[in-house]
Amino acid sequence: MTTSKTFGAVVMLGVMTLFYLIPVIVMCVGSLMPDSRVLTDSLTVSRWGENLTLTNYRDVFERVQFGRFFLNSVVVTGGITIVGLFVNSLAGYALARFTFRGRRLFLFFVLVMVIVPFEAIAVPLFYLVSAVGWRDSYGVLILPFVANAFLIFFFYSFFLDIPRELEEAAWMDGASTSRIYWSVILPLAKPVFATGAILSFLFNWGAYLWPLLVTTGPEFRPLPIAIATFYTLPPLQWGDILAFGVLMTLPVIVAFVLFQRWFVESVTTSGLKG
Amino acid sequence: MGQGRVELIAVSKAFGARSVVKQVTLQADPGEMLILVGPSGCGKSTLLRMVAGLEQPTNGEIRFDGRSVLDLPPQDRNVAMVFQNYALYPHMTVRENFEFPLRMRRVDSRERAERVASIAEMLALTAVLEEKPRALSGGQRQRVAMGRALVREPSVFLMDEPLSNLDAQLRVALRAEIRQIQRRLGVTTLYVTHDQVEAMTLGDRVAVLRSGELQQVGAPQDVYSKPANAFVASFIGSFGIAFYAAEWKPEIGALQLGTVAAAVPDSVRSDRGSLVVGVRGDALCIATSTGPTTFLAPIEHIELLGSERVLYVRLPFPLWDAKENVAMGSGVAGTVGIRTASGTTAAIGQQLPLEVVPDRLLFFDHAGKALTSG
Ligand SMILES: Nc1ncnc2c1ncn2[C@@H]1O[C@H](COP(=O)(O)OP(=O)(O)OP(=O)(O)O)[C@@H](O)[C@H]1O
Ligand SMILES: [Mg+2]
Repeated sequence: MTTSKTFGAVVMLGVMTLFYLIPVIVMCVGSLMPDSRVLTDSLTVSRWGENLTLTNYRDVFERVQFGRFFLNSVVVTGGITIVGLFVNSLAGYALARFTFRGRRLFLFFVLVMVIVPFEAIAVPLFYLVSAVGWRDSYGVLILPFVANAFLIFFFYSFFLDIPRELEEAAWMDGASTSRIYWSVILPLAKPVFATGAILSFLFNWGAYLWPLLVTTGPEFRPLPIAIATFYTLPPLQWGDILAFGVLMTLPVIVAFVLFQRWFVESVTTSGLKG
Repeated sequence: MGQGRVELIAVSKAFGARSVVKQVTLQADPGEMLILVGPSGCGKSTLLRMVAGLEQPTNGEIRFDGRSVLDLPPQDRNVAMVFQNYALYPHMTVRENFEFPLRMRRVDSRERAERVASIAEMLALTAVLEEKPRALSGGQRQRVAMGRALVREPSVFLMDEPLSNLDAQLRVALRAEIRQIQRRLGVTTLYVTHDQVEAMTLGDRVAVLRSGELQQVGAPQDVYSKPANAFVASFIGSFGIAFYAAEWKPEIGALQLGTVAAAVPDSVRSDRGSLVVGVRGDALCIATSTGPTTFLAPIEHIELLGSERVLYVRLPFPLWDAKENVAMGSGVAGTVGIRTASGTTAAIGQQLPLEVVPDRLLFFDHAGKALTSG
């Protein structure tokens, strides 16, 4: 009974994993095949091993300034993530701990903004930045995404769960508010910051619409726009597109592995009663 | 650093419309261990937090050594507090937990090391100084919390139910330890508990609170033997108390308690005719012979406490119709526990011949206020 249940679960999970994994595997394998073979052979496992090549990767670097796009993506996503963690965590902390006029209203708007998709406000936002002539810069790519309603709410709910006594103890021990934040809250929040960083990175690494609206040339454009040019730039070479995809996905995986260590290391409540 | 005299003068606290502490006036002398005791929700923690500076009183005055501290934030009051959940910094080792308050006060590293070493030794924590709180047992965590509070040598030490998360055995052991340390350091201590046994055994004086109002302050023995009102009488004491309606009978010169006539002190005598008598187990003794003053009471419940056996009896007297007649501590509502040697043979349902010890009886008016017996 139990074993057959377990078996069923394993099979189901296996099927689901394959479903998600196959496109990734095909991407990796296809990126190593000559363009002529990609469409015909990349789904045929038996032919995966035949004369693989790195030419697609070479082509990617030759056809576009991959380094530049990559740098842009890193600067923009990194900027959003780092500044965003700082801003959003502080906002969440204030919401969770301070009493001030308009706190509830603020919280309400945060919740509303979690639901509103970016696409809904992209155009008005575009008018806004155009009106002040703000285009083609890292700033305009970063700033609109720094404050993130989801992350504010995410931090808010975490801070709510930290026992107030911990901060009161630090307060009585002589720590200032900022000291309490740095010495007591932040160390406890490490895993939450790691999660927040990954989420923020993922939200923003694939951003396409906004960069397309506010940038005109390769100088500030990030990777997703570059990969899109491969679809429009003849000749349509699938191998190149897949190679580009690999190059674009790899950093996300690396970042995830780097931060993953922190997820596990959760010490939030262990100083409290058993 | 001051002497550590703490005065609360007509302190009140309301959260919104809800009044939680009402006009409490209370003083702790330097070096004294003052216990705040009362049922859950009576405002003990709130009172303590006001002394700490974590809450501001709505009204009233709080003074340390004669100086008002209401304008001072917690860190400038030189008070330290042990929280009910300990609130240890989970990411710091025991040593770092001890050092944190010293660092905040810019104590130099040599003195820091010395103080940490001596507090760790006093609390038997030297071996676990490099551990994080999660690696410690409940009792050790509790001691770390005390150490962190004591290490900066506060002039006032506050403890909010510091033992309530521990098992009974550890609680008794740590109770003695806390008392010893407090005596040794001579630091004024306000100690909150809802456990009357803890209050009785630990304190120089005990302050009993109920619904935010101070009921009585005094030495444990006085609070026990001369309770200010029926609530205090029911709250303090381990083996239950029952209250009965009784009648002063001038014609026989005695108090009519059910079928029994009891001689009572003069001060009670002159009062109104009808009054309330509080009977604890120690106001009863098992009668060896029957007479006009003896009566029979059925045993309803028996508790074995190792060296002694407590017999809970229901007295055949008319119960006073008030809410104080509920079980406090152990026992069944309306019964009274009589302590006997563990060898005593007794069975539930058995009728026990009893006699009252008149000068151990407690007298109250029908509002529950004690009639002073001088
Ligand atoms: N910040 C607050 N806001 C509103 N009400 C509060 C607040 N703090 C305490 N109270 C209320 O005040 C009353 C007294 O609380 P307090 O914590 O002082 O009780 P206590 O005697 O310590 O009880 P316990 O033994 O359960 O700890 C409670 O009814 C509680 O709900
Ligand atoms: Mg409390």
